[in-house]
This record gives sequence, C-alpha cells and structure tokens, in this order.
Amino acid sequence: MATDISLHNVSKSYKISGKEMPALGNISFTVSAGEFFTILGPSGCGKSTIINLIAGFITPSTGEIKANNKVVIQPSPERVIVSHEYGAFPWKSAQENVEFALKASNIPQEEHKNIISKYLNMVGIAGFANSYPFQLSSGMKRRLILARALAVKPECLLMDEPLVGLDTQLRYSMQEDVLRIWGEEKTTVVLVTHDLEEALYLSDRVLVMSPHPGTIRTIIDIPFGRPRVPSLRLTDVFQAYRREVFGFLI
Amino acid sequence: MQHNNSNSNRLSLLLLRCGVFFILLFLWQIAANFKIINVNFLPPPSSLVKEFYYLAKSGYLSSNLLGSLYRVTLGFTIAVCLGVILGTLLGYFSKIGNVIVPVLDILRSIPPIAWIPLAILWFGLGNSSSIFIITLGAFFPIFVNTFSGVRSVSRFHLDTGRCFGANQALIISDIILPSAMPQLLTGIRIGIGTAWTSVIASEMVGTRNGLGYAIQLNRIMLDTDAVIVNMILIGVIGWLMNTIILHIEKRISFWYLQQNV
Repeated sequence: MATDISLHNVSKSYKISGKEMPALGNISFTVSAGEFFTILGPSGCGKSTIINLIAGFITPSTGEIKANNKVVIQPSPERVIVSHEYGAFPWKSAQENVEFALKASNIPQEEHKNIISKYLNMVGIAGFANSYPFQLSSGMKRRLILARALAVKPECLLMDEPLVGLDTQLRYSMQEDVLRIWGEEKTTVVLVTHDLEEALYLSDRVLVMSPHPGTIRTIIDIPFGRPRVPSLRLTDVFQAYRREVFGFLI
Repeated sequence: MQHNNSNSNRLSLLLLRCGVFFILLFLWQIAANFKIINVNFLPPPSSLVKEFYYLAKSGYLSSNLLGSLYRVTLGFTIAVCLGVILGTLLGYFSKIGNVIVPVLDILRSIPPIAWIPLAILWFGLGNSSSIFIITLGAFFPIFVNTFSGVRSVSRFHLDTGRCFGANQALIISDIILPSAMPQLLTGIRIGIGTAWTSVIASEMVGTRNGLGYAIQLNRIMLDTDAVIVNMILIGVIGWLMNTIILHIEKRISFWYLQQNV
C-alpha cells in the first residue's frame, strides 16, 4: 500500500507577464515506499511546486516524475493532496466530504458507510459526521481533509503545510495523530513544511531547499527510532539535529 | 435574557410598523372624506375594500390572477431551465462561452418590454407572445448569475475533484453546481422579479385577461378603484414570490451565508 516517488532532473518555470520565471531548478531525488519524507524551506522556495508536480496538477518544464516507476502525467487517487488550500467542500457535511472522495474513485456504494465511519474515527471527528465545515474548528477541518484523503487508500499522501496556522499546542497533538495514522495506514508521505521542528520530529529524511529558484541544499537522514514520543524534542541529540538543519536554512 | 430581549424588540418593531401603516391609511381616508383629495383620481381605502370584495365575488379577480400566474409560471420555468443549463455549459466550457457571451450581453441590454412589438409580430396576440416576453425577461438574470457562479468555482475545489479521479458528471453535480448555487439562486430571485414585471407589461398590450390587462382595461373604463386594487394585488404577489425565493435561498445557501458572517 505504498509507492516510491522519484524526480529526475525536474525543473519548472512559470510565464509571468511574458517572462519565464524559474521556480524550480534542476531537482532529482527519490522517496522510498512507506517513507516519511519532508521538504523543508522558506516560503517561495518552490516546495508547493514540487507537491503540485508530484500530484500531477502541473507538468514539469524539463525532466520527469515517476510514481511506482510510471511517469506522472495527471492527478490520481493514488497520490492525494492534503492541504489547507484544497480544503473541504463547504456545501457538504463531513461525511459527505469523505463520500465524495469514495464516489470519485468509484468505490462501491455499499462500502461507503463503513469506510466513512472508519476514517472519521481515525482522525477523531466521528461525532461531527453531520457537521458542515463552517461548524468545525480549524483543527477539525484539517482532520476532515485528512480523513477524506485517507478514505481512498492512497499509496502516497502529499501533505502541503497541513498544520499551518494552528496554534503550537494543537500542532503538537496533531503531529502525534499524523504519526499514528501513518503507522496504521503505511502510506508514503511527502510533507512540505517551513517548520524545522515539525520536519525533524516526523520525518525519516528531510530535504532542505534554497530559494530563487528552488534547488536542493541538502538531504539529511533523521535516525531517531520509532515510535517517537513528544519528549524527543527535548533531547540533546534532537537539538543537535536542529542546529545542523538550521545551519542549512540560513 | 438576550434572547427575550431581541424577541420583544422584534415585537415592538412589528407593532410600530403596523401602527404607521394604519395611521397612513387613516389619514388617506380622512383626506378623502373631507374632499382634500379628488376621489376620482385617488379613491379612499374604504372604497378600495368594497371594490376588492366586488372583484373577488364576481370572479374577475381570480380569472385575471390565474391568467397571470399561469403565464408567469410557464415562462419562468422555461427561463430557469434554459438559464441554468446554458449558464452552466457556457461557464464550464469556457472557449465556447467566450464566443457566445458577448452576443448575449448585447441582447441582454434590450429591455424585455422593447421585445413586445416583435413578439406580437412573431406569435400574434395572446399567451404565446406574453410567455415569450416573460421567458426572455427572466432568462438573462438567471443565465448571467449561473454563468458567473460557474466561472468563479474555486480552482482548488476543481483540482480536489481531479485528484480523487472524479469524472465530469460528478465534477458538475458535486462541485460546480453546489458551488455556484448561491449565485444561481440570486439569479432566480432577480429572474422571478423580471418575470413578474414582464407578464404585467405584456398583458397590457397583448392578452385578453390577466392583472396587466385588468389595469389597462379599467383605466379605459375610468374605474380607478379597480385599477388600484389590481395594482395592489400585483404588488402583493410580486412581494410574495420574492419572499418565498428568499426563504428557499436561506435554506439552500446556508453554508455560503454562514461563511460570510
């Protein structure tokens, strides 16, 4: 239930008022199946461009992207994006939002009910199945779009700043949920974040980007064992990694 | 306590409104009784009530009312179907939309009333030409609002659909239409207003019954009471239709209204 993702000499430029603006330099990297891989960098460094390329929303200017050794040419429920921007549909209740994903990927009607309750449970909003997004808190909305993505059993989750804008405490507790769910569902995760600590705490490897145009600064292995516990953040070895990665960010 | 307070506020507002309304009626009646106004031009409330009873009892009122409602229902229904279908298709397939919409924009600038002579030439006097005018009048606001609602569907919502592998039918039924629904309903509410205006206008020249026909006919007969009673009826029905649609709008667009609180 997981897939490997690889980028080969990928670059992307956008035409802005007639001028080609490079957003992404020449990038190559591989994410192994089942890995928690994080792309870290300041805003505007092309992180979201990478996610949109892997998702298949946009095509690279040069190079190619492969998922499971097949070239990515269009979006697919095998690679689902989880992002605040690609939010829940405001006209659908929580369970209707999840059901949309099931209908879209042709999952048989009779399985819908069980799948919906399984994933609303997993993300912890089972009691809000009939609530509409405007009735949910900001954290619960993030949980809902995670449930919607998980419901189609994607091989790869593309999480673009999934916890951006939440307060620190909520962020910590949702990081725990993300780790737990990743452990249960065994999907490949490509996470984009600008939060150094979040990247270190969650990931197997962290790719640090430098901006204008986005290129790879370095890729660092994060050797902390699993399961990880919140107090890991306070250990000296965590702080040492923090200093090291911080060095690449500035 | 807060709740009680707003309830009693609402009640006193209602009482105040009724009070002002009855005082105005009373002053109007007094002015007529003391011959301050000419009752031939502006009959007092008492004779309007008498006239209303006469029209209701004789059956003129219901036959005119039903005539107008029949035309407006038919014309409006056709307009909703055409407006929603064309607005959705031209909004969704933007290349065709870009070619056709400028032409429709010019047609839209011709008031429905200006079509009456041509409609009579094409369809003759009677229901057909009246329904044509109503359809035309209601079509444009419904079409324009549906079109712009469909055009303004969020790219992120559409991409979410593509990401999960949704086919075009599902994208239209579950993303585009519900997302455009608040604007579409606004178009329908404006459309029912123009449909009502159009039915009255077209009946004044083209039909043998209807509320528009009634006010025109009674003007010729110098029956000011009947003119005003029918006018009031036109106002009440128009207001009712608007209120009903507003109510439906609140029901269906609740998620949209909540977002913008």
